[in-house]
Amino acid sequence: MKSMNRFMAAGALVGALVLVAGVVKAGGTYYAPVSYSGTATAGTASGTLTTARNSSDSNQWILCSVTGSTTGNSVQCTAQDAAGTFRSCVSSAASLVQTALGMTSYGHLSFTWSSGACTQIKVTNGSRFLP
Amino acid sequence: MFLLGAAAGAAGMSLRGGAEREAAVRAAAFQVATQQQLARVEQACGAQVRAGSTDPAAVAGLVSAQLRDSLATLEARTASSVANLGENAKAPNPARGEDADSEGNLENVVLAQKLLDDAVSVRRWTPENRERMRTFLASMPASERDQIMVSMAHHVNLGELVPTDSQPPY
Repeated sequence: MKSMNRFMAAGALVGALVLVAGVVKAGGTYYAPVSYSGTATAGTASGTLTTARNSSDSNQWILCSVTGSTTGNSVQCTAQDAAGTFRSCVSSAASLVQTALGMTSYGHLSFTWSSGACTQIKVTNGSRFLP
Repeated sequence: MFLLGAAAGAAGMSLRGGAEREAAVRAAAFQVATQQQLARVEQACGAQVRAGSTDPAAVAGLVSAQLRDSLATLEARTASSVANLGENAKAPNPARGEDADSEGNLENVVLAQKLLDDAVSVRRWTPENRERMRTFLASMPASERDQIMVSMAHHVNLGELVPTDSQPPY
């Protein structure tokens, strides 16, 4: 009876793994490490939050934070890639602050800067990004 | 220092030049006081010569006394110049939609800029720097705060400001 239970449990586990694998494959989960394009003066940083969070190098992260004050709101986005290089931008533009507020704990984030000022923030949430 | 910061903020100049503005204000005050000091020494020495005195000790004592007076004048004029500039700068500009409350603490603008400049000079941004900057940023005009933060971001991107704890710089 015991061996029967073990057999059934193992079978259930394999089935579950196959199912999960199938979902991942069917969903086309998208992973992207933190990376940069352009130059330090004007460029873009991007990456999926899950990939950065689970990266084996332990260096990667990417985030945007929104600061509210009595004189206005601002958004600050910063990233660090696997090599430990930082990229950052800041803006008080209402449209960019609003965009950053649309972030979830997973998804894809990219921000573009020019001389330290954010010129674009892109937040992508969707089924391709697992929490 | 607060008033100097106010002058710097109202000047509408680049925040990068905070230290330069401070130096310029002090230099201007020093120049005025020095010119007046020289004029007084020349006048006093001329009076001694006209009176027929050739005693070096008397002339030296006179010059020394004049220098002491001039130093006191210099300090007073420096404080006065800075205060006047600061008071003028603190006046809200209705054309820009400013009011007294929106001005914030302009002293923090100068302090924040100095903190940033010092950190860039050593290419290090420590947790202590970050906490101090947050304190300064929390109480300053929004436009100045934005400029300082954008400047920070630019220095970060150029590798001139490196967080020592791998945390966001703000």
